[in-house]
Amino acid sequence: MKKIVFTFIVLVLPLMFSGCMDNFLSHDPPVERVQDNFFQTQQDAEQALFSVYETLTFSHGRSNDGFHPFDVVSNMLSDDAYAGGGGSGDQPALVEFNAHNIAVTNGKVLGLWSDRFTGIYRANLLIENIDNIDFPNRETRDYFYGEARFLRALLYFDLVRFFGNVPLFERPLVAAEVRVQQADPGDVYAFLVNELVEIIPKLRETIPSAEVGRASTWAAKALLGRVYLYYQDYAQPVFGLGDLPISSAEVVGHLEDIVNQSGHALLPDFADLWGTAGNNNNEAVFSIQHITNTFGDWGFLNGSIGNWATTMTGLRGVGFHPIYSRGWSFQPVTGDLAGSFNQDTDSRYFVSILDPVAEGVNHAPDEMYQFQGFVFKKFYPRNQDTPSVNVDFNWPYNRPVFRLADVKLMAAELGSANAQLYFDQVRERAYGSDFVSIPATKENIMEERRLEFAGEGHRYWDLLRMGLDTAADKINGQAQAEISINFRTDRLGLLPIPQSEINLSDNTLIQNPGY
Amino acid sequence: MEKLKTLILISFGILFFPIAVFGQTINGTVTDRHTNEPLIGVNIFLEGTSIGTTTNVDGEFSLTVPSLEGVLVFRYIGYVTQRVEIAGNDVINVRLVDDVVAGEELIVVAYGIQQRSLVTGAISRIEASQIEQSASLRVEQALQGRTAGVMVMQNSGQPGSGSTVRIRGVGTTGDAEPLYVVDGMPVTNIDYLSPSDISSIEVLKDASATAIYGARGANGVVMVTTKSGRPGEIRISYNGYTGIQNPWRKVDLLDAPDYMMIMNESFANDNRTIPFPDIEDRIQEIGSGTDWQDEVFFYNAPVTNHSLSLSGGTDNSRYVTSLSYRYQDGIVAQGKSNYERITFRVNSDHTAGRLNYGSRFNYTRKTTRGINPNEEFGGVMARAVNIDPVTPVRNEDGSFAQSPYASQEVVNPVAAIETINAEYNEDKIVGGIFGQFNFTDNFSLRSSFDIDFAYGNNRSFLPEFNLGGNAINETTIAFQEQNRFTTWQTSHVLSYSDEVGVHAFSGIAGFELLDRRNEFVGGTRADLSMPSFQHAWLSTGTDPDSPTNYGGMGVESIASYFTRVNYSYDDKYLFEGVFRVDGSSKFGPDNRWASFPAFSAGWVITREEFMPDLDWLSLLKIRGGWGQNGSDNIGQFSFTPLITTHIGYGFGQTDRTQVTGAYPAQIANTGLRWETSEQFSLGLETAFADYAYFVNLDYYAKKTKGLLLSAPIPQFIGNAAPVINGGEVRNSGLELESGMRRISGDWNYDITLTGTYNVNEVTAINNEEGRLFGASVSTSMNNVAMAQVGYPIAFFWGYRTAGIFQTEEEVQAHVGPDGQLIQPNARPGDLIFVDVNGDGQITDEDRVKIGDPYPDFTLGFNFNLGWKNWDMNMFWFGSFGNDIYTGGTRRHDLNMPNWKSSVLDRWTPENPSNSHPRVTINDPNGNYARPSDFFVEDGSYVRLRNLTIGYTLPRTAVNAIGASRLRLYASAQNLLTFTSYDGHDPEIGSGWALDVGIDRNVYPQARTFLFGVNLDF
Repeated sequence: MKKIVFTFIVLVLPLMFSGCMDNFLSHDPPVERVQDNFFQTQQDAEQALFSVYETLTFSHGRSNDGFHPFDVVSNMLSDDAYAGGGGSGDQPALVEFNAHNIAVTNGKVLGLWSDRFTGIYRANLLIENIDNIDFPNRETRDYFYGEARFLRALLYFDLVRFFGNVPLFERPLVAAEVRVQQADPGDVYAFLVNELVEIIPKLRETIPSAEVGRASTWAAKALLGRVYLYYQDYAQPVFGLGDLPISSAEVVGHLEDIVNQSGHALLPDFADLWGTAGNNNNEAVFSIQHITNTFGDWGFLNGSIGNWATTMTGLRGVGFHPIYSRGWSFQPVTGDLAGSFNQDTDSRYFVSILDPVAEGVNHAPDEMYQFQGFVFKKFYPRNQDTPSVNVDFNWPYNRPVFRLADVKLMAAELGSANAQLYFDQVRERAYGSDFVSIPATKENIMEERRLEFAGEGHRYWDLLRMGLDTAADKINGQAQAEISINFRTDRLGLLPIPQSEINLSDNTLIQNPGY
Repeated sequence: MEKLKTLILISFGILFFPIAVFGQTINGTVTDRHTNEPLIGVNIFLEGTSIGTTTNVDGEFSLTVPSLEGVLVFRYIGYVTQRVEIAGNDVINVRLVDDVVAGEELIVVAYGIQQRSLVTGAISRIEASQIEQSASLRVEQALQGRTAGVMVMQNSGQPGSGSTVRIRGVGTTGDAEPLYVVDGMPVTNIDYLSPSDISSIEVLKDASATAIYGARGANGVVMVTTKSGRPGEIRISYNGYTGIQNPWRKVDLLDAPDYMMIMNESFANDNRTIPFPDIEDRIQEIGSGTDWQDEVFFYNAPVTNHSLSLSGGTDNSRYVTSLSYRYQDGIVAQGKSNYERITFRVNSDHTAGRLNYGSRFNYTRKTTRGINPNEEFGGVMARAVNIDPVTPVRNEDGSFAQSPYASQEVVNPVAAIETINAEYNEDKIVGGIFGQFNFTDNFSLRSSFDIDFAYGNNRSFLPEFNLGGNAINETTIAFQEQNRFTTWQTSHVLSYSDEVGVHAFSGIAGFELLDRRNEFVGGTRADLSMPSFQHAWLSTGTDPDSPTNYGGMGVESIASYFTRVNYSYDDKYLFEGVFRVDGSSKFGPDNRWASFPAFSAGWVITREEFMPDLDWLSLLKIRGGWGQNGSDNIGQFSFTPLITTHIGYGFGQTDRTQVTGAYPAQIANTGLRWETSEQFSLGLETAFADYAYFVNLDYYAKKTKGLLLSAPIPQFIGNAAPVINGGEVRNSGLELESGMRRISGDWNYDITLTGTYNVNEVTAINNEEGRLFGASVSTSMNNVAMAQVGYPIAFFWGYRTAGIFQTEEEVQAHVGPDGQLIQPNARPGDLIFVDVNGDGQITDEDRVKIGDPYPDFTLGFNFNLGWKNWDMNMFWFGSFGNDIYTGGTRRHDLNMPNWKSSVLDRWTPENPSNSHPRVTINDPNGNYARPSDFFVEDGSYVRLRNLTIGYTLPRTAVNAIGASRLRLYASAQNLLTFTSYDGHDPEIGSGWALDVGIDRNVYPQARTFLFGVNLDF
């Protein structure tokens, strides 16, 4: 009898339980959804799309190495800014950018790479699942689809500019797909042009007021212009590539459309473009939206929505000043850029460049590495906009990606019939009553772009468009006794492919020339 | 087990059967052979009958027997049972031997107890007395150096700060903490226990011992058993101590004159304006300047501890009730770093016929206030070490001074302490009930139900302040968080044991369910109506835009079946087999269940008939085993692709609104499986000269396979790497536990020496790189710690240096294969970095292993000495071969932080030092920015952990006040430390598996002097 009880309890009872054991061990995740029940409703689509937009504010990399906003590193690479910070030991990886002596293991290089691939992965997920989602109508589906593809194109354009030779993915990868080869740069540019041409009709012409910041058809046209120009001036000659599947005239046509049909216009006063009041002004065709939040996790810097260039740019040692706040003194302006403005006639100087001595701002020159007396001002932290908590994370200054002045100058460069008019309009606003027309030659336009867009992160790419030798002259011209800068034309202006990516791809990725 | 049962049966006997009242009477006294103390409640019976009695409070007994022949058996818990021939004597005095001494004590194993000599697994045990000696807040600290194979590093000296406990090496890059089981209930930590409530701690080290904990046993198991009552009159004991704590050392920093001199030199070396041109005047004015360490240390910080316990009962019903209180201030940041704990406990055990039942109940209330104990940027210690000595603490008007040289987080540390306002309090109940029904004398079912319930509140207040640097906060903020943790477990175990001749069998089989949940909710608000910590509750926040909040829950459950079978032949040949099947909700449906087997065997050679009865050899035993166990220490839903939501963007023309994005948090791995650890273990136990000496040796080889880790994947894939079963770690080592015990006349002493030697190697990481990146330090030293195939876990990864460039010619001669300068920015006085891969430049590819944070071996040495009424304990602990990374102790990214005085030996043209590079602010060579072996120091140390001297008052004196024992003692913790490390403390501990031994100005351990009283009634 006892044996029977024993056998029953030891063997039978557990078996009876094991049926319901699996229930005992199964839990639905209480807080998160799972991928299987995602991508169903329009709200899912919105959240998926917004997670791609979010990556536009990323500037710290997956490894949280940190502090490489697009505009900041582009400025440091150019002849407009040095690395700065508190000393050579403060973000030495940024000092390498400025010196053009970039190690293949530089963490910021990896960060720039991974932030963009993160956005591309999320965009590809939505693009792949777009037809599983229940949209109210075809148009809605189309502009969601179009925006995801626009963002993917924007991110790929950054990648192909920074790295030249990048792998091209049109669908999300799985973890095992580590052995992928880089695409031919020409294929990437052709992909971008084809994508943009295809999505231009899908995107909206008018963005409702509550959704301003989302990509319109005009944003896609502007990107097309920038891609075309960069290809024509840089990629085609440098890599020896053929023609794009679009003509210059078609591109000019798209740019003219923006000028004539979008409703965007130049603001009369250049100063009105900046600060919180300038966010989403009528000149902004597409801007990265930086909003004050309360986020503040130093272990997940990419989680913030604020403009990191702001904290990074601010002067040290300001103390209390009625207008200006303080920061970490990165990207100090070169004397060359400050001197390029005509301070007396060009209204842009006092908007773009802060000279703390002239404006009577306390500062600590000895604490600021490579400081030359000037800092960028467009996104400079101002006391009135100080976020209530976690200040460094949350500066609410949008970064314009395309503004109408840029569209007009691109059209002028590409030989629009209105080239001189557009060029004059941009300059007239800057010089006001001191305006004197000069011819809209490529050289003049390039010089104008440097002044118009100072601090916005365009200069380095414009320098490369002027040719590697010119870029080398201008960039290396900023070297000083204590500041070594060595732009090497054999590196084609590219960053190295991150060494860890080469390693982790089982050496399938190939390093860029000169590294 | 056997012994206990007999005890219970005998108790029945005494109660239920009429005792023969005729015959002869035997009188006598039972005492402890070692102490001569009378033993109370010893069971005495005439063998083969139900005639018996127990001793009274004076150890005396009187037993009536039919005739003065036969054998009297004396049984007492904790002592070796003794059989005495009556042989016509009517007075029999017996001195019982403590079974710990004789190797016959019962030790707690999973789901039962076993006699020490019959155990086949590797188990270390420490006793209540050893736990009390360490006078520590946390129970884990008592394990350090007293148990071989168990490495305990205290994470910092902050009261209540956790410990890093590693049993037989670090087996994983994930969570390597052992499983804690208190009275059968697995708990996440044991700091809720009052050390005085603990009866013993058993550390299960090898797979044969831990396999029965299956999926959670891979990192070893620490089993804590709390005290239970003993039958008899009520016994009241009080133990209290109070003392003071002080830092045992200050770091040798520059004083103001040296600081100004070094700063001037630094700036001059870079052709920059020197900051102190008027240095002579300044020295006149401020002398040696401010000693900031003195300002942040809390000297003579109090610690006090009281515990009171009452126990007693009858043979059928026994209880212990205890109450304890502890308050401890930290030695840093007075008022902001302290710990307060109240616990009370009721343990009861009852017998009713064939049913034994009882309960364990513990309530703990703790309140902790803490500072960040190892933070390199803005920690209190970091500020004290980095801020210049030139600035005074306060201005003449009494306000806090702001240093003109301070920048970023390095600001007046005393002012900064005032801005810290944080408190955590927790109410916790751990307890349960159990019942054991004995179907027969050798077959029983034991069922238990336990809970671990905790309710924790976090609260902090950030005032408005402007301390200079970036330590500025312009609005007041209140933060509140509430956490509720609920765990329940039920387990049901059948036990069977029997003996047939020389064959002894026993076996258990059981199943167990555990469910763990936590709910949390928290938030912040700004601009408080009453800006003080006292009023920092969310509702006082007035800024309408400021509220943030969050909430959620987590859930996991485990179901298990297990069995263990023991067989011994004549107590000589011992076999044990264990099998456990575990199911965990942390794995997907296809991989939910896993099974873990173990086998072990032992051979007690001294019990062999062929062994001559040697006086000098008391025990010779060999044991060995093999087994597997696992770890499920990963997040709760790693196998499924969770969608994370994050407010990360916003839209809107004028009213800009934040929007929520959603994306898969990481690439999912639905095939995720258990981490498995496989261990082979061999042990030798010996004892000599009637157990006066013992030496135990253990060897182990442990391999952890299928490590649960997130190995880097190429970032072009675009999402976080999945958790995979992607690595393998091997640990092998030797353990020594040895000791001696002697009594001669009024003197008695015992000595124990434990030693641990462990070799750790990562043997696989399954990605293309074969490595995992660990912790970073400061602003420029990335991934100073690393796990890489072929190296020990968490080794320091950096540049090797080859001294210092003495001349410009040496700089020019340091060239790569094509003649290019390897360090073009270097100057004489800069560090020479070794271009390991020979590519002519210094990059991450040149970084190699420059140190190992784990010790090669550790030693513990314990010495007890008694003379008449005096007792003395001395406990030394030594850790040898562990390295410390010091790159986080100075803010090299800033211009003007202070230096350790070792900088005085820096390279200058006049002092061609080869140990310390020149001082420079710009640091173009990266002497102070690159992680190199310049920052690695030997962290070996030897510490006198405990020195106690006690005096027990004579019995006659204490009887006058109604007490049975009164002992007074004085004790010193960490009285002496010998180390060549020049930081605050060589004991640093870990942040996570790949952040070990990195000094970021750690909160140092205190040197404590205590005075205490033990009083028993």
